[in-house]
Amino acid sequence: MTKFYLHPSRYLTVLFLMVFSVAWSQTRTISGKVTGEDGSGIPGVNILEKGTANGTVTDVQGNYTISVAGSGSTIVFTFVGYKSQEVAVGNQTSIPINLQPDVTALSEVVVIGYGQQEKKDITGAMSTVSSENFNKGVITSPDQLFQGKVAGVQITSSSGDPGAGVNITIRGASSFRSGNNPLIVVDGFPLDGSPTNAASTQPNSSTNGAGIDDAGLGMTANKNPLSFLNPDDIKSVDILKDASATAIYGSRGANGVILITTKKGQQKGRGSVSYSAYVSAAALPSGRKIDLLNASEYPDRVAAAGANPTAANFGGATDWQDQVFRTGITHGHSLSFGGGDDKTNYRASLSYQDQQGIVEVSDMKRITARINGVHTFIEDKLKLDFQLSAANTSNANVPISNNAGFQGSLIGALLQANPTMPIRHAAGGTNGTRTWQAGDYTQANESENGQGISQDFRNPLALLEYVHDRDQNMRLLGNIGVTWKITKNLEYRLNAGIDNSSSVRRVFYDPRLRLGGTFDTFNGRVSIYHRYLNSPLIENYLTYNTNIGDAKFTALVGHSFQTFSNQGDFFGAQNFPTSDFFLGYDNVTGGKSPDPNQNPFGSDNKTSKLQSFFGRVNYSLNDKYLVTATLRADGSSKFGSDNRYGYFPSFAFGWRLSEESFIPDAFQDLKLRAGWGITGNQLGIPAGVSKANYTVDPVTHALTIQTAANHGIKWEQTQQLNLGFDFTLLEGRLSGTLDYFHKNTKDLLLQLNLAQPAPTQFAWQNLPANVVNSGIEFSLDGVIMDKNGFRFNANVNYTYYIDQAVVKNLGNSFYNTGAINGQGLSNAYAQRIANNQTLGEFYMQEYTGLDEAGHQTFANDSRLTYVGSSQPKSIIGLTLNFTYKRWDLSTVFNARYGAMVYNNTANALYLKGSLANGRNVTKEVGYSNEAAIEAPIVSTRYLEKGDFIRMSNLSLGYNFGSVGRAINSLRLYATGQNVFLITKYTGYDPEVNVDKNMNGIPSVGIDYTAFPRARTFTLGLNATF
Amino acid sequence: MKENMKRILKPICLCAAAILIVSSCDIDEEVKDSVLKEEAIIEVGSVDPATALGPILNSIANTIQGQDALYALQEQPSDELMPPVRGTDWYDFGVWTSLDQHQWDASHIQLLNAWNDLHQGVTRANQAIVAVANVPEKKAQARFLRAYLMWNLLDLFGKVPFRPESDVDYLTPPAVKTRQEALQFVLSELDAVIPDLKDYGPDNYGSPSKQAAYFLLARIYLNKFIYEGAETASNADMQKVLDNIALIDASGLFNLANGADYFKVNFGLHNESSPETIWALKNDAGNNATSPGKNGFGSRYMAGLHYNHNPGGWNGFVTIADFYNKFDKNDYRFQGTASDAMKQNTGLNFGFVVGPQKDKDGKDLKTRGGQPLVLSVDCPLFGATEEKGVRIVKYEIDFSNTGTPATDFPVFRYADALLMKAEAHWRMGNNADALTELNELRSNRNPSAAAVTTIGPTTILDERGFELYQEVIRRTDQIRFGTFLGTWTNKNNPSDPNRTVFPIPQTAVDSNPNLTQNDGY
Repeated sequence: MTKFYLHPSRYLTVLFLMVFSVAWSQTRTISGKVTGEDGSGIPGVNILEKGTANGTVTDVQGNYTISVAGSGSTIVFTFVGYKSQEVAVGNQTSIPINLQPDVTALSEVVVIGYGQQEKKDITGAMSTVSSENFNKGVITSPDQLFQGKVAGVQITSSSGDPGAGVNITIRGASSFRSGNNPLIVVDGFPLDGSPTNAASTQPNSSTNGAGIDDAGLGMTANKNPLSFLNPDDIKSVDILKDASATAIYGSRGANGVILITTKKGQQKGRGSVSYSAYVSAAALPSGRKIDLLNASEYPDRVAAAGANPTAANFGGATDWQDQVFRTGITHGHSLSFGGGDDKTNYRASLSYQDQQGIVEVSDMKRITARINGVHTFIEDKLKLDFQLSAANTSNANVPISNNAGFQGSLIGALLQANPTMPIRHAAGGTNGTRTWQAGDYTQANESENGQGISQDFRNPLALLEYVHDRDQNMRLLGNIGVTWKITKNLEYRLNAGIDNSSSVRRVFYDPRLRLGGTFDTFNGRVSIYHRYLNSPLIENYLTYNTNIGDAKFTALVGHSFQTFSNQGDFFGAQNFPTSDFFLGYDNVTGGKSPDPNQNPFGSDNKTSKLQSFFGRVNYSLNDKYLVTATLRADGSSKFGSDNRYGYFPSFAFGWRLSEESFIPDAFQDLKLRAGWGITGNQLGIPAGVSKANYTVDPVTHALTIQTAANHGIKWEQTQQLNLGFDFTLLEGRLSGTLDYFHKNTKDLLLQLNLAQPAPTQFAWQNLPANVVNSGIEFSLDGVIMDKNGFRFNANVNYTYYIDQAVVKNLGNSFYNTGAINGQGLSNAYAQRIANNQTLGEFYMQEYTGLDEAGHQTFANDSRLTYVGSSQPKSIIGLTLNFTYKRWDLSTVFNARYGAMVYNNTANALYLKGSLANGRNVTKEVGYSNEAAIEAPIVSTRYLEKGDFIRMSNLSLGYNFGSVGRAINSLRLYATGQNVFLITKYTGYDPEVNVDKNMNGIPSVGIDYTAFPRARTFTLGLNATF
Repeated sequence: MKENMKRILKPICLCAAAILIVSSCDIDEEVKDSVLKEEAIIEVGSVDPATALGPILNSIANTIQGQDALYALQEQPSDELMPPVRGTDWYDFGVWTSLDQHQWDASHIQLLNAWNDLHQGVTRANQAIVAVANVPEKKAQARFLRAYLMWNLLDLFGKVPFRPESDVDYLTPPAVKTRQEALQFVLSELDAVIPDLKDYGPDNYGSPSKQAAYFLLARIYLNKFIYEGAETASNADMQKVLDNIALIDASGLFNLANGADYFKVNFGLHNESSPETIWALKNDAGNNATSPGKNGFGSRYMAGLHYNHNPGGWNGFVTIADFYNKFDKNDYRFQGTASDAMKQNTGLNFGFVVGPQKDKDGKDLKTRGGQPLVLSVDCPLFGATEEKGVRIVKYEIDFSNTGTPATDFPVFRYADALLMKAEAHWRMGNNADALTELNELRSNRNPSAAAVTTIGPTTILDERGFELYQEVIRRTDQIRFGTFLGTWTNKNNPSDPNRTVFPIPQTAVDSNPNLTQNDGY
């Protein structure tokens, strides 16, 4: 297309047109507009009357007019990158055409690390999702765009909180520590994988001072660091899965690599403006509400549990779930414009999104701005490109945490809140030093209706109103690249940039908030946190390209240097003379330090550096035999002088059988791939682990050794073998990929127990054990029907794990994780990592039911045993697309099988004894014969199947095409997300992963009073001008 | 023009690339929030002698002042404290009941907590020994503290991995001292440091003195036959006990408080002037020198107080009925009048808390389920309802710092020295002398009771219980008197003989090939 204006065929067609229009008088004139997937007109589409030389092309707006022989004629529309379409003319005079992108096109160019490659030449395991296949609706971060779309990729958000943190694992977890997320590269810039928001990383909290966690509300979860990208700016996402694809990223490639490519201005054609907007409504899915005892059932059940029904009846009737959950309204706007000519292109965009969570108060606002451009000069020898994106994200957080005590953070508090408790006091009163007015919230240690309110009671609405928790995050990502074509074959590129984020979080606990216990004597408390990340990058590399006879040869050598600095600080104060919000939150001067002996402040500052040398050779003979070899040497300041550099090689071979004569022509493509390589991982290891580390003891102010020196600490390494094949059949109507992978991770980096006596319990060391992941991935694309303007295509992806992160060579050692919280659950855990078990294996007593007296009974003499894994056995994604003329309908289903989920919420809250203590439980427990003195024992009683089938997306759209003269294209759509869920899980949602790590060893698949996932309906429009 | 550009650009680009590559080769660490060194070495004089002991004392406070670690290991398996499981509360993964029922295994969290705390203290002592090598008194104190920590380790675990202060290669597993070797080392260390220690006095309050060393020697000699696996104590060792206590007496620095003031003087908020304290851990109100995340000294009373007491406690540990029932109700150590501040704020008195509970205004308290809160003497181990069991308020409740009271923790008390003296006499067969010593203490603590006239193991062990409950020594005492493996309320089965020594924590065995697990585990 790019060369269209110079192409002689244009003049030929014009000539033919002139000739034939004169020759036949029976002709019919057909006109229409050719549009692409976004509804905008496509200029330069070739239009040909079938079996003739009669043809034309579309104009800059995509309009065409053609005269054909008669109603028996057929018109063929062809355009590079799109599937050709044939239309019988019949009686029509206007034929609008919507071209479908040809996603299986073999000539498609995909992004690989430090370069691009034609898809047919790829030897590694990788998947591409481009914008037309992205998930639709409210998208807060890029991972949601391809969630469920790619085999081998599991994306689990920790909760339904807007901007909630996310776990992305590609081909299973391989690390014992919280370092299983893949490397994210945005337009060639590898991001620092650390959490960016101040909420997630506690600075050195030195004493029992003003830490926000010490009111028993627990620590809040990490936010998603990727939510700084506007999904509308993303053109495609390439996911590199095996070692031969990721080895070019060496020590950062072990968990896979996600390459995000942003949209660029169109190189030819006039500048265009796009605008998209949507509004959506989100709510707790009907049927997912927890079935708790209501106010009329409650007194009777309380009495049956042995409590005094009068004392536990406060006379009200409150459905706390209804009080706290709401319909959250989200709206978003995105505006972009771009354009260019053959030397220059540019694109700029602005977006705004305001997303309300389904819990009152919770909200995330995001403003993004992005500009990128390319300019070529000096006879196309020098190319300059740049990108700059800025995003400001602000969150209104609600007090929901990973590890609240038994009184619970918001969700725990509302689930166990007494349903007879009125929300507000009917009359004023006093209790000791505590006084309240009519209309104030009912709170701990007060009384209502003549009954004393328990010190455990936390009024969820008081938590929402009296905890002011806001954060603001600014992230800038900018880089500039210079590409210099030194000779015809040799190209040099310099890429320099910076990834910078700063975040502030302010949390104010209003003095009016009553949490029972000592907190109430603090008279308000404020904590202010900052977190600053700065990661400059500079890369230089040379690419050499040549053809030698039938062989193609590409070589790459380069150098990269990136530093990662991470700084933070916090301080706190308490004792506020006023409950005025601003005087605690925005002006702390009214507060006091808790105690002169305490340090309600702290700071930290660590920088690590990564220097890399890398090279890659691609060789292809006769388009048939493909070889890729990669080597990267990474040096990290984190590691000991003995092992500072790690070497990460990979080799891959491809054999395009379809080029062989013995393969039938039915195969447009058939390729066998085999790859092997070693990649590394150092995510989550702090700087300074190889040296002896001294700090000043906050209590005694003496210099003490914090960590021992470890000169031998070295890289965690993953060896991966991949065998696969790709095929395309039936003129591209059916294509697919099948891969077998085997990952073996060794020298696991972990905080291991030091042989005592030693300065600390743990030190970062390499554990001589392995983690094995193996499995099969399968992905199939097919056009099932394509007739009379109706088109139906489907994609299915399937992952089956043979070894789900199985630990080997661990001997008799074990590591407990999955801390279980709640009353009577101190020191409890649910998972144990041990030899031949999976990462995330549940280890607990096996529950066999209640006996006649209502006591829990257990198998195996109540011994703890391995009872199942939180790692799924298989993951399935199914996408169906239907188009009919201007209508399009698509739906995405996700399913997971074989993973267990531990319901810590039920373990902590739903016990008969909770009723005896004046708290609420589920109807099921309330009416069971369980004895009120039963202890909350971690057991399979609360271990549930986490299997589910979810219709995660359903989207219906209509393309108006051009409207008037101003609007080039207009599309309206309606989308439902999380439309329905089929599961036996009794909590809010089985797809949940609350961080319950112990000593930095992550847990998998534990649910604890998490922010529930919403069901969302969206109406939106896309328009281009 | 274009050719010129080319000629200029080419070298510029190449130079830029070269400079960038060369200049970026430094990948040295930049950790600015702490001091990094190639080796973990503290140099002589690098630490202010005034603060040098702080980190060691902090480790000791960590393990002895909270409700877990050393406190849990000395008290929960003994006959004076128990951890009832109260329905939804206090099951805590069986951590407490397995201690109570002597069913712990090598993965028990409190074993690991104590092991790590004590060893961390030893390491910090080693660092201080080097850092203050030029200040003889400080160095001697650091060596004393190391000996104290190592005595705890040999008493609990039976063997002690050890690094001399010169060994900072923490990644190489250290050699392990047998119980005998550790015992000899600790005794020789104490003998060696005494000349450099000063007499107890206000200047070294909170730090070890000569008398603290005599006390520790006496305690170790008293238990030495247990560590040696002997049936009975030798007269020579018992003479050592008497000699060391004689040295404490000779200092003239200590005497018994007025018995009626047992609680207030020894365990009150301002107990730093108690005439009975030989060595105490200093606490500041609001700051108990424990690590973040660990409970302060307030756990002594918070663990037992009911939720609806004021301050609202954790409604956990109680004293065992058998133990409670042995008390003479007139004994000053059974119950005592609280200070005005404590009484006005909490409505609670010192000692055992039992019966109907009232707030400071005399209003009846209720359980969380709205039933009357009447604390009972009896208490089952499992399925105890909220009101079961007698609670202990031995240490004064600091109402404005409930978790972290100002009360100092007296680690060694003169009353214990008197009891050791009586016991040593009895073990040497001098029953008359033993009775004299014992009655001297009893007449102070319970003047209305008749003097004891016969003496035996039960008399002495009971008296130690009356005097020293909640003072983190009960397990050691019961082992010495041979009752530790026996039965009492809610402990219905005798224990395996190996239970007098705890297992080495599994992670410690895993991380040090020189360590072998103790017999029976």
